Amino acid sequence: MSAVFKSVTDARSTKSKEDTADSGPDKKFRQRVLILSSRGVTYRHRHLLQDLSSLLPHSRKDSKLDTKSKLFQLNELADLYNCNNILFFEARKREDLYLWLSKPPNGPTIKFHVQNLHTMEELHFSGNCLKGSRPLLSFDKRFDEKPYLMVIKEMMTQTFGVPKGARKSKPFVDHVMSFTVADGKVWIRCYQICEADLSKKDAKAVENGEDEEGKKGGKKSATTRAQTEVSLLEIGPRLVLTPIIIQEGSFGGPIIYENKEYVSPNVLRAEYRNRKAQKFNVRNAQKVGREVKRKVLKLDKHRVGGGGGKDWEELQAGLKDLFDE
Amino acid sequence: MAKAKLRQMLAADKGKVPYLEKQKKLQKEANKRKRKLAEKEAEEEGDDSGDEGLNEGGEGEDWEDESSDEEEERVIDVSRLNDSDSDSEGDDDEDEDSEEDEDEDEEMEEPKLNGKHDTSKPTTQDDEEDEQEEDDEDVPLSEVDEEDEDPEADIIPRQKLTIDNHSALLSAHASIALPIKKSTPFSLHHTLTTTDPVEIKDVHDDLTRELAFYTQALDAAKRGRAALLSEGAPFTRPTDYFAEMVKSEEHMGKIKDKMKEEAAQKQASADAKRQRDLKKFGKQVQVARLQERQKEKREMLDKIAVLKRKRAGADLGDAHEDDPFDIAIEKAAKATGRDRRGGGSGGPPNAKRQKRNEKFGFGGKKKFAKSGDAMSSGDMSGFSSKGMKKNSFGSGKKVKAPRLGKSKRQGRR
Repeated sequence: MSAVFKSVTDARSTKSKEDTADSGPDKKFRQRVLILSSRGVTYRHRHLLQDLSSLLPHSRKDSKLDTKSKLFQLNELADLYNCNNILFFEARKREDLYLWLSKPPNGPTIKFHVQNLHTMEELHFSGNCLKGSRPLLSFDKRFDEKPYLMVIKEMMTQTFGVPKGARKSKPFVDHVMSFTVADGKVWIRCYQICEADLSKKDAKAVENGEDEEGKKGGKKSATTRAQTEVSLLEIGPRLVLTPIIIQEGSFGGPIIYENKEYVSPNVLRAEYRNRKAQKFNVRNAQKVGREVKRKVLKLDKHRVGGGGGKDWEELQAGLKDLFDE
Repeated sequence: MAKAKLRQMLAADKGKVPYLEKQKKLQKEANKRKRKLAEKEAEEEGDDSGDEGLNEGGEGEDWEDESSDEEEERVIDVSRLNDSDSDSEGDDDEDEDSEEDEDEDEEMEEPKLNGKHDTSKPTTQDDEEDEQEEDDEDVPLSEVDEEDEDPEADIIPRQKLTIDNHSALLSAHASIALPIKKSTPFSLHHTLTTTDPVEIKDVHDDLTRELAFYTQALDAAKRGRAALLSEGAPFTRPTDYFAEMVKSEEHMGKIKDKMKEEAAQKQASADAKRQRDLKKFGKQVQVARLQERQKEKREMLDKIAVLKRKRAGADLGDAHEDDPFDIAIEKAAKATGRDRRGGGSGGPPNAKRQKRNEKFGFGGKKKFAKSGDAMSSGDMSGFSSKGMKKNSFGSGKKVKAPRLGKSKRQGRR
């Protein structure tokens, strides 16, 4: 008995080995993502992190990174956890969020600015999906138009696409992640796929009609497939990414792409503040001008009620000067 | 030739070995010559040999031409560097138009553009050649501007240039790209690209934008579903398959509550709106209803009067006529069921009721109704001197017995 078992298991093991050998590309498709953030994230950033890690079963969440300057440390960290993708959220000033997408040890790094961030918690969308089901990734055609977008697409595919047979993944597909390029930004949405059978009466009528026509059972499956109606429900989260730079190495190396259109939020804020300050400045200038005028007219000496003849003469002289100017 | 000397000096300044550079240039020249020869041979096979000599002479000229060309090119480059919107694609197009022969120079364009920002160059195999050439061609902006002999030109503000190193980007892409071919099963990668680029008219209009995203995702879902089903991969979750969801029960409950609340709010607002509308027309409706009631009442009274008259006459008539009469009165009673309570069977209320109504209410001004005025105080109709003499029992006849004498009163005790 044991011999039989052994032979069977042997056969199986050899078979599985062959399988792995055959599915050489499978190894290439194996992905693992390290998700972590810097210090100083707000609760929304934290919730986004949570949402993403719940959507990506092949991810490894790690504690916050202490440094914001020595990001190359992340490479070692990724190596430690056997991760070949890094999703690093860097928060600045407790309001700006930057997303670093990298492929350690030597792949490119993309830095995004995250805007219009809405987490699942606050969005109240009625969609829901299995934890760990593999998403369909839908990309805009624009991603193939420019090299930097191609790189972004590839990185997104590898980070957000759950590899087949990932540890905690489920075999069914019930959600779509869509990536769209618009306005120089990448917009990310996540939808649940709802399959609704058409009402049974309709289905029966259709089937009967087709039976009368004399179609065979083999085609029935196709017809039933056509009968389910696919619709979508949004799950969340929502975010918009503005690419800033692409580096050739992983958290290092030369910059091979830089977005000219990107304006730092700091600059924007400064401009806003300056515009507000303009009012004050104008008023201040007026005040100074008024004082100067008063001095020229020697009005600072001249008080109401205390007007002497001399003062009056002075005033007249001052006025004359002013008009002469 | 003076320019060539200048260039040499520049190179020396930068710490370059002129010998190596020269060698490189010569190599380039040789390459070019070879190529040209090959072209010529291809074109004029079987032509005179005398032409060749001419060609060689031409090449000698070419050498000089080319060097001057390079100078011009550099000037163009400077202008490009100064240009704020350095769209690399447009530059590429220009290059392709202007110089068909010099492929190598074309390749150099991109690194030259970004050379200002990062001196350390990408070290990929493809770019190695570019790098070498780039080193000997790249002149810092400040040095070039010195030729203008304009002191203020030195203080050029650093303008932001777009770095878009296509070759480096493509090589980076190639190094990480997944080996997805047409033969790879869809279930392995789950990646779909739309057939047409997604067009959004106004990105800031939420509705159109989200609709575009939705249609993109829906299309992907349909295509992906078809692909997976045709491959025989599992797609739909069976109804009896339960597992942890991304959103917890608690969260979904919250969402449900929220939706309910929203629906209730919507309902409430719709109701309120309806009420408001009703109120607007309420007055008219009320007036109409009152008039209707009045009319009904009048009709009823008429009917009853007719019936009464009939009854008075019916006493003389035979019994046969009674039946329709009874029915009629029943009907009338039914119809007036509501009015009955108020006014009895029609007609004004009795005198007492009227008086009381006047006094206590039912129409008219209530305030000061009971207080006296000049008329009431001057009204002496209720007074009689007799009344004053009446005892408490009301009869004037029974007069109080006169007071008895003292002895009698004491005797009583």
